[in-house]
Amino acid sequence: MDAETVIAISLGAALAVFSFCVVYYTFMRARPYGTVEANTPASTDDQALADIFDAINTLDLEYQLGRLAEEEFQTQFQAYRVRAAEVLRDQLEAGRGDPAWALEQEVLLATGTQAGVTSRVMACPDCSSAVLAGTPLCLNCGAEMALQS
Amino acid sequence: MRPSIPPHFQATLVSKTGFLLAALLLCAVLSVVQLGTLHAQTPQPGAGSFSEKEAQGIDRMIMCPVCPAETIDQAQVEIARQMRQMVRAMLAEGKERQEILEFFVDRYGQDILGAPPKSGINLVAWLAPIGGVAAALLAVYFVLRSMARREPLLAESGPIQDVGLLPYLQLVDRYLDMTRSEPRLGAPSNHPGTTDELSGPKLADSEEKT
Amino acid sequence: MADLGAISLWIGLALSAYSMLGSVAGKLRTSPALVESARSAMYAAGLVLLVATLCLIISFISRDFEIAYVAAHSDLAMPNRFTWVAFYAGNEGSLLYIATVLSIMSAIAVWRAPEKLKDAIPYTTAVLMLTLTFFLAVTAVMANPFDKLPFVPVDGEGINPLLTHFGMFFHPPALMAGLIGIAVPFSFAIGSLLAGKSGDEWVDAGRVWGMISWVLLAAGLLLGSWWAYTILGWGGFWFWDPVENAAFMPWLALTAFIHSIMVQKRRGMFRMWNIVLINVAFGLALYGMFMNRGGSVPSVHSFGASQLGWIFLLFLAIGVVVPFLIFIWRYPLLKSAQNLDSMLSREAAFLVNNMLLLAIAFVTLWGTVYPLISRLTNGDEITVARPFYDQLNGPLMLALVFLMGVGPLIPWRKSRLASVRRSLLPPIAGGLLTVAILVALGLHKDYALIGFGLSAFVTTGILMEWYRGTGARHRSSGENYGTAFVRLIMANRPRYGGYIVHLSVVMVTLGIVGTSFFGVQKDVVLSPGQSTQIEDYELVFLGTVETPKSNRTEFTSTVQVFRGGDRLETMRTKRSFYPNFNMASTSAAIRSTPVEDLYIVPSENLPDGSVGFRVLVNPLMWWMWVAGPVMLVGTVIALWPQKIRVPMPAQSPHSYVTRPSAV
Repeated sequence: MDAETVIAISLGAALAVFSFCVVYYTFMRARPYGTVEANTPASTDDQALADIFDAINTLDLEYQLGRLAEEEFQTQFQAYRVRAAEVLRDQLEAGRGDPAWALEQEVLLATGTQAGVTSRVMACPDCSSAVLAGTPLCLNCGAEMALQS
Repeated sequence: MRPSIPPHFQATLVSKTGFLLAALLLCAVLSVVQLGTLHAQTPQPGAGSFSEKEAQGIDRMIMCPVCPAETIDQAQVEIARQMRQMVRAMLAEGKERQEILEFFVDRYGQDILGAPPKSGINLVAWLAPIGGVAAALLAVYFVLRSMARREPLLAESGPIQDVGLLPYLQLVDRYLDMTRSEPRLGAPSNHPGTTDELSGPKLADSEEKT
Repeated sequence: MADLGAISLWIGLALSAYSMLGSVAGKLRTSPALVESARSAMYAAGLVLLVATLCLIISFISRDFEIAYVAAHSDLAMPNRFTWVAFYAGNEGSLLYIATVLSIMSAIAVWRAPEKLKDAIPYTTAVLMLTLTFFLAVTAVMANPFDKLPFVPVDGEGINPLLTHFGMFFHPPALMAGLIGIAVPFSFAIGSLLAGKSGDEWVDAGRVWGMISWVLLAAGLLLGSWWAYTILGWGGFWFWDPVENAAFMPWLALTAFIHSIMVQKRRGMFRMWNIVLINVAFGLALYGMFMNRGGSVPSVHSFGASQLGWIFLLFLAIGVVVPFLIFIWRYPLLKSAQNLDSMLSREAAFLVNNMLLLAIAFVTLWGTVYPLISRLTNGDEITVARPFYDQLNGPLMLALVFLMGVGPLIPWRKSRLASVRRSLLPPIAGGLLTVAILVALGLHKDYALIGFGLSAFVTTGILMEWYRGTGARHRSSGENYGTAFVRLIMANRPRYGGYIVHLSVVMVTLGIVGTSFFGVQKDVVLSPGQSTQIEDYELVFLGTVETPKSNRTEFTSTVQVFRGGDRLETMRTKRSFYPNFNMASTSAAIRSTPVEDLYIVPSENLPDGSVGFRVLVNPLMWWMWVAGPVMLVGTVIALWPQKIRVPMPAQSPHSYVTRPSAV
């Protein structure tokens, strides 16, 4: 047994041990899933909303290119709009959310300068969550918001 | 940003310029194509009383007996070269393409030809794919027709019934306002340039819209 | 090093087997720990196989001829950079390469799999690891690259000269990666079925990995054609060799898949069809790999008939039958979410596209197996080669090009005939105009006219859409035309990336039509000082220089090219004779312009100093090679993740968070 073979075999053994450790360690410290079998409904997945808005984007493009008639465009657009609202409602009811929203929102409100959209933020008197000015009902807790101009 | 030109007139202008640009580009491409292919049709200085093109065409029909899946036109081995010379010799004698092919078949067997003959049992080699493909396309037509006849699975459009959806619709509308550009001037119209109110049937007053 | 390599190989095999079994067991017995550790085993397997790969590379570089594989595919004279090619020159190395690529792709695919797939991922892992275990088992047991010889040879046998061409550095790796890459979307599909998912969760991952495999395969096929063109020395680039076909068919099925998966993503339709399609693609890929391992048909590519053929055939049978059984078992789950709105819709066009692509695949498959059928049924020996495929696949491909022009003009869901007709006017005008001009200029070949007309048709359609889209965006957003164009592409990446890929297909069509119908070929023997004429070129043969090298003798012949009296170029063409392999390889001299290629290759060096030359003029060949990078750019754009901002309800529903849409 020459030196090289010894080195090779010990390296190989080290590799084997390493692999075993990786496998075993992951086994031991795996956190319980809880929902290994759960079937999450498709509409509460992050992707669903993005897909709808992507579809609206394509619809706009096809209309701009003259491929769609006016009525056809309107029908499909309304359908997508309603579907988006439904998905949004499903997501809220499933309690999905992103804790990092606050910073994102402030940045977006600071940069969003679309005409016609007032972008003042108010706090809901009941649950103190941030609400865009002009909304009649707090969408988090349902409390009536005082109308502000 | 509204241009001062009425929409449908402007649309035609766009189309016209578009056509012009397309035509210019087409000319550019065409000049390349014709440069490449046209002078390839000039007659070759023929050697003997046949055209080299014809000989090469026959070469492409005959397989090289020793090479894997190559025609004698491609193969570089000695026997392929000899066979090419035989083809030209026979053409010079005035033999027809079919006679030459039959000569090789007699000598080497049916599998010297690069494709099955279009006769006898081997006609199935040609009919099967042609028939199969035609049948498949026909099937697709009928499948599509039957799919299109069925009732749509999801009820579309119609007045919005669900009042609980209102706040969410507001949200969607607000978001759409923020991310989409102003009303579209799309179709080169057969409808006069109407402005589009994209929100369609209004469900609630949103004070934000100016 | 050989020992470490061999050990790594076996460790990798153990890990992948554990990963496969652990995933399934963990899922069935609801043990998240087992599933997690099986996943780690997969990552570890990737690492370990990289170690094995490294060992083989080091063995080559250090010229360790005790290893049989190194001795068979290299020698002392070989420059180190050829180690790359020598790695996959034989069965053993290429199987190790495939296994390594598969393990890395699997690791990335599972790691980056979207959250919504978490129930199906253990099954996906299991399918991927089953495939990996198969390849590793075959490698370790039947074709081990680290097997040693009973003695240490003084020198190796050297690398096959055909492999030393530049194209060989990329063609086999790309092709093999593309073929095995099909396992990834396949595993997502099957994993989803096994987990009882009825929806479209797997579609995003399936689309992305389908496109990655697609572009790898397409690159492999184009590079192979380019290699054949420049080094095989007959002036052509594709001749329906059985192994070429075996790689072409999965590519066709994949092309069909990446189109119809868009329908499932957009509309939730074709659920069953996509499962069938990816099963077919995977089966064809396995068949492709089987053909490469000494299948039943001789070919330029055969690695030599070997026992491996049978074991691959077995795996192919399992890989086709079992997924279909799973499909039949889960059939009730796979109902479409929506129905077809109209026959004049993009969905319908995609289905026709699928049919045409599969028709071409079927013709190719039929041609490959017909000789076997004929031999078995009535004993006739029939050859099926280029003439057959050209006559049948040619029209089908033209039909496909036509569809490529019409399809993008049809919107999703529903369209009126009037709108479609209006959109079709400019492209049809472009096509007819092209045909008219060509006829007026003297071009009369039917198929060529159709081919060029259709190319103009498709190109006009694509450019018109770009033009109108840019114009509309310019009008509505006020951006200047340049910005509008770029923003238009970036806002609709899959669509516009797809258009660029379609343009590259048109370029390939131009190359094929140009060379097939207008190529001119001439075989001539010239002695030094003699000249010959082809088209409007005059070629003067100056002489040959003989250069003995360590493992070969090179004959470099110099030819001067004139046109209309002006000297264009001096071209040098080479023919090398390798006594070890009793083989000659040629290096053609090609003068390539967008208009045509002038192609000179020597076929024999005669003792009296004269040289037999084959000279060709191939119009429009350049376009076919340029199509490669264009296709790559288009695919990158189509795959580029597009951030779509959505209103995301959080504690308050008014926040807006970016979400990546693809990947």
